[in-house]
Amino acid sequence: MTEALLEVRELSLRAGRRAGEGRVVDRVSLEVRRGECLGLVGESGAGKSLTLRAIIGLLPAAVYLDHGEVLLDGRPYRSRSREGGARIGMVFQEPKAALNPLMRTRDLIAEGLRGRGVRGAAATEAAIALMEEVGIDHAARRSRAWPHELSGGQRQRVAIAMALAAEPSVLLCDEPTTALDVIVQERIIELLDRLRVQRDLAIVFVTHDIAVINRLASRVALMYAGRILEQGPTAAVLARPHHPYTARLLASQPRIDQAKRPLRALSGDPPGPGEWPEGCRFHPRCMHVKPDCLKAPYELHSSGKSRQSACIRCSEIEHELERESQ
Amino acid sequence: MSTQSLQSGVLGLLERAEHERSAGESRGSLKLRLGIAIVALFVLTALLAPLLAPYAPDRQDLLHTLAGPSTQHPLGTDAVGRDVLSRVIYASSVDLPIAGAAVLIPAVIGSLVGLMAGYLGRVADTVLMRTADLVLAFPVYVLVLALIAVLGPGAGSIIIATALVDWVIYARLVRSEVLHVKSLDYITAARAGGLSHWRVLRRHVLPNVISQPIVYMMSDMILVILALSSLSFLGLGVSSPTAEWGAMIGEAEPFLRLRPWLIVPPGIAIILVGIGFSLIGDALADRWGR
Amino acid sequence: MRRFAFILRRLAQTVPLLALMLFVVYVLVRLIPGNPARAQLGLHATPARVSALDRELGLDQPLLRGYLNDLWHALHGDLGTSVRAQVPVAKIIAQRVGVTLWLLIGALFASFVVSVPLATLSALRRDRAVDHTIRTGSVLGLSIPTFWLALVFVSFIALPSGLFPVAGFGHGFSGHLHSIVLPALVLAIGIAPIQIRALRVSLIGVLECDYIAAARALGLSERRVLIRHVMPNALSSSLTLLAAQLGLILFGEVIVENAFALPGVGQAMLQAVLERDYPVVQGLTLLAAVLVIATNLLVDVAYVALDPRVELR
Repeated sequence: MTEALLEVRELSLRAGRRAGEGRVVDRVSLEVRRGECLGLVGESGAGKSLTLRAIIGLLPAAVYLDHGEVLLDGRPYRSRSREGGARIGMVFQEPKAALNPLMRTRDLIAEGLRGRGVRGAAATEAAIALMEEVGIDHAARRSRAWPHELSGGQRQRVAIAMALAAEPSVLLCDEPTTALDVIVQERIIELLDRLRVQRDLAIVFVTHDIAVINRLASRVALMYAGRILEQGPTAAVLARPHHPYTARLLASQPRIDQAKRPLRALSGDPPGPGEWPEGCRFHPRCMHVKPDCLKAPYELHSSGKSRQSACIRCSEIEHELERESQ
Repeated sequence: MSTQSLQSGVLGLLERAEHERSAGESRGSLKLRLGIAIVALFVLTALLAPLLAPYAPDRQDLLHTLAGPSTQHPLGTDAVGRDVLSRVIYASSVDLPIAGAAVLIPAVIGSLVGLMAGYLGRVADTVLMRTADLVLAFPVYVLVLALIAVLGPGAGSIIIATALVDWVIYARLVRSEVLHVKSLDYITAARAGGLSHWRVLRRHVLPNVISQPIVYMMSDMILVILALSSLSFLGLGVSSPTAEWGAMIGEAEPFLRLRPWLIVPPGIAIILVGIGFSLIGDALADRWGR
Repeated sequence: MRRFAFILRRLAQTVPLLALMLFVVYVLVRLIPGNPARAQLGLHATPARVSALDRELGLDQPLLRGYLNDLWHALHGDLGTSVRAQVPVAKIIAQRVGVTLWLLIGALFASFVVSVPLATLSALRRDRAVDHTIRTGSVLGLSIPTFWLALVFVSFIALPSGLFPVAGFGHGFSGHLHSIVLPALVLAIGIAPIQIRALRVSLIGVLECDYIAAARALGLSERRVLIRHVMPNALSSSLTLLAAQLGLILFGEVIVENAFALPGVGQAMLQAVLERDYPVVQGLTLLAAVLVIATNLLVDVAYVALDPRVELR
C-alpha cells in the first residue's frame, strides 16, 4: 500500500482570536495518495473550502488554526515555502475572479514558473506548452490574451495551467466547475483526470455535486457541520452509504432513468458554526435518530474495508440506507 | 467558495460571537458619542458666547497688546489687546452658523434635485445631470475665489459661492440612492398598489435615501469650515473686527516672529470641531453604509 | 491604433468645454454690481478715464460679442492685460507657472510617498492597532487647516532652525528644491488623508480577490504579490481621486504660496482678487480650468493605456 502523499490530521479551525471558541472546522483528517483523487463533498457552510485553504495556508483574515497539522511526504508542510520537492497548488471556483485582470495569460502562467527559476523567453515557451497541455487551442495566440477576452472554460484552464506551472504534486480544487455550464464542466473534469494520470497528481476535489465525484474521484469524504461523517471508496459509498446524510444526499439527486420519481429534497438547513447540536450533528434532520444519537461522540470509526463512518447505527441501518439512496 | 464570500461568511460569524460584537459596537458608538459631545460643546459655546466669554470680542486694550497667557487673559491678547479666549469663543458663533448655512442650503437643494432626477428619470434626469457634470468640471475652489472676486468678500458671498457649487455632490448621491431604491421591488409594488408619486417618495424612497447625504454633510461641514477660515485668513471672508478663527490667524501672521503661539488657539479650535464632525460622519457611515 | 484615435477624440472634446468655461468666467466678471472700471480707478476718476478703461476692458461691448472677442484672443494666446501691472496676463502666467508646477509636483510626490506605504500597512494589518492609528491620524490630518499648518511650519520649524527659507524660490535647482520642501510638505499633509482612506479601501477590496489568493498559492513572496499583483489593481482608484482632488489642491496652492511667499500663479491670483484685477482673475481661472481638464484627460488616457478592460467610446 503506497503511503499517503498528503496527510491532514485533526485539522481544526476557529473564527476569532480567542482560543477554543467558535470552531468552524472540527478535527478533520484526510489522506490522499499520489495519482489519486479524493472528493470532498458537502453543502455550503460545511467547512470544505476552509479546509482546503488551511491545507495550502491561505486562511482568510480572522480564521486561525486551532489544532492539527498538515503533512506532505511525511514532513510538516510549511505553507508555500520553497523547500525543494513536493508542493501544493490550488484552483479556485470563479474563473472570472481567479485571473489578475491586468496581466496577460502567458505572464500569469509565468508567475507560477518563477519559483522554478524559469524566466523570460523560456517562461513564455513553457507557458505556451502548459496551455497546450491543458487543452487550449491556438495556444501561442491565446498566450497574449487578457483574461476578460477568454471564456469561462478557457479561464479555468488557464488557472489550472498556472497552478501546474509550479509543478505541484498535490492539486486542491475548490469547486472549479460549479460556475461553468455542463458541457464545459465535463471537459474540465476530463482534463483534471488526464492530468492526474499523466502527472501522478494527488487531487482533492471539493464540490457539492455528487455526480461529479463519481466521475473523477476514487475515494470520497462527506463533510457536514465542520466534520467528516463518512469516508471510503467512491463506488462503495455511493452504492451502499454508511451514513444517513449520504443516503439523503444521494436520494435527492434527480435521476434521469427514474423520471417519474418525485424529488426527495433534504428538508431544513445544516447548522452553522456556533449552532452545532450536541452529539451527532446531523441528528435533528435524521430519519433514523435514536436517543443515543444525541449523546453520540460523532467520531469516525471503521465501518468496513477502507471505509469509515460517524454514524453509531450504521451497521444496523445499512440495508435501509441502501434502499433510501436508490 | 470565493475568497470574498468566505471572508464575509467568516466576518458574519464573528459578528455573531458575542465578545467581538460588543467590542465593535461599543467602539462605533464611542465614536458617535465623542463626536456629538465635541460638536455639542462648540454649539453650546456659540449659543452662550456672551455668557462664557470673559471679555467682549472687540474690546481693545492698547496697553496690553500681544500679552502672553495670564490670569486675566488665559490665552493672551492679540495685536490690539483683545482677549484671545473671548475671541475664540465668539468666533464659534460666527463660523458655525455660516458653515451650517453653507452646508444646509446646497444639501437641501441638491437632494431635491437628485430626488427629482432619480425619480422622474428621462429628460429631467439628463438635463440635471449634464448640468451637474458641467459644474463638477470646474475647479471648485478656484471658482469660489473668482466668485468672491466678483461678489466681494463677506459671509454672504461665501454662502452663495459654496451653494452654487456644492449642490452637485448631494444631487449625485441622492440620485444614485434613488435609482438603487427604484430598482427594488417594493417601490413597484407600492406604485402598483396605486399610491401617488408623492406618497411613494415620502414614505418609501426618502427614509432610505436620506442617510447618505447626512453622512456627507458631516464631511462637508469640515470642508466648509476650512474654506471659510481659509478665505477669511486671506482677507476674502468675514471682515476685520469680527472674530473668526481664520481671520484671527490672519491677523496674527505679521507677528509670527514675535508671538508664534498666537496662531495656536484658533487653529486648535478649527481642528477640534473638524474632528468632532469627522467622528460623527465616520460613525454614521459605519452604521448606515451599504 | 484605436487607442490613439480615442485620445485624439477626447482632446477634440475638450475644446468646446474650454470655450464654455471661458464663457462662464467671462459672465462672472461681468456680473459684478457697479462698474469695475470705476472700482479700479477709485472715486476720483474722471468719466473720461472710466470710459477709457471700460473700453480697454471690453466692458462696454454687448455680452456675446465681448465673449467671442475674448475667446478669439485667448485662442491666440492673448489673455488680456493686468490693469494693475500693465503687463499681459499671459506673461504673468509664463513667469510664475514654473514655481507653481514645482510646488504641485513636489506636493504630489510627497503625498504619494507618504500615502502608499501607510495605506498598505493599514490594509495589511486591518483592524489592528496600526490600522487604527493610521486612520485616526488621517482624521486629524483632514481637519488641519492648510494655512494654519503653513504658519506653524514657518514659525516653529523654519524660523527657529533656520534650515529652510521662509520666502522666495531660491536660485538654481537645489535652491528651488530647498525652498519648496516645507510648502510641499504642508500641501501633502492636506492631500494625503483622503488618498490614504481611498487607497486603503481599494487595497482591502483587491486583497480579498481570488486572483490574489491564486498568486499566493503559487508560492510567490508576499512582496512580489503586493507589488506585481495587488498594487496595479488597487492604484487605479487613486488616480481618479487625484483628478477629483485637483480643485482643492489648487486652492491649497494659493494659500501655501502666500504663506511661504513663493512667486507662483497662486500668489498672483490672490493679489488679483484683492485688487479686483479682472483680466488676471479671468485668465488665471481659465488656467486652473485648463489644468483640471488636462489632468482629467491625462487620467483617462492613462486608464486606456494601462487597463486592458477599458472600452473605448
